[in-house]
Amino acid sequence: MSTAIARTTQVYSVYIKATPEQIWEAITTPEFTERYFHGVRMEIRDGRRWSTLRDLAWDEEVLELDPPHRLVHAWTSGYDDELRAEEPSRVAWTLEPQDNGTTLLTVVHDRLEGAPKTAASVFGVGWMFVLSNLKTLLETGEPL
Amino acid sequence: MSTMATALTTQVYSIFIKASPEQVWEAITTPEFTEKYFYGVPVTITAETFDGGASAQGAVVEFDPPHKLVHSWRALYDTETAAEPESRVTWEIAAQDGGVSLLTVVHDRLDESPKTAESVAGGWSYILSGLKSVLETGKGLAG
Repeated sequence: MSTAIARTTQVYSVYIKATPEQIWEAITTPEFTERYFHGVRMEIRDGRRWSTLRDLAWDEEVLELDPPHRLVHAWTSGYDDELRAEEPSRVAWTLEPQDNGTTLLTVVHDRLEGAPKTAASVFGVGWMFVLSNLKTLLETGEPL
Repeated sequence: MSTMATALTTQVYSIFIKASPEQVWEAITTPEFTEKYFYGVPVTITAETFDGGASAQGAVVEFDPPHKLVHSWRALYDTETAAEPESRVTWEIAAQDGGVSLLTVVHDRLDESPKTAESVAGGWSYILSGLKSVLETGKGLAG
């Protein structure tokens, strides 16, 4: 990315040829997430989002759960020792149906003031790799 | 974006596409491709001009296939945006591992063109999403 300073509120959006229900399943089911989210298995259970990657495990508070429209959860970068020591930030997923069986998926990653290294890590291509991969998986059946 | 009160004067968009840089370049510069994802507009891009007919026009200032394309931008689809000064669009294509390309679009010099900035803020995500679908599935999002 050409931007030197990662913003503390980051907004990403992608249009996907899929229903909100299909996207919801892809962002909340470990069998899906491990195929596009850097191999991380993610599951929503008991008011928390549980993530596992190889021998690593971490979890975050779910702040809003409204399937298949909106999911808001705290974000901790449990995959990296240095990043996981930073303060939790927040991620909001919003799914809005469009015409022609397409859904607009918007991810807002904010409250990053106390997590500058996380902000830099996820900025730009970080989130867009995950969202690009999710779109490819849903539209073609295979990830990037 | 609906969540932003003010559209940014430098807007950066990126997307990963399962295609070679050559394929991405062709999809950006050929009208048969662009009409499938650029709001139905056939766009022809040469080393001299960005020709989007009555929708958008620009002068090409850098033409380096299949890596980089820079052109000015005047949105003619709306009388308010058409009256604003030209802004600038930069396309960069970088090959990644696994037959994947990273396409980055930077739309800047929008300081004197607030209507254009607002108009394209939601549009670029739609265009890049459609471009990716066309290359990966053969079909645009509108089809």
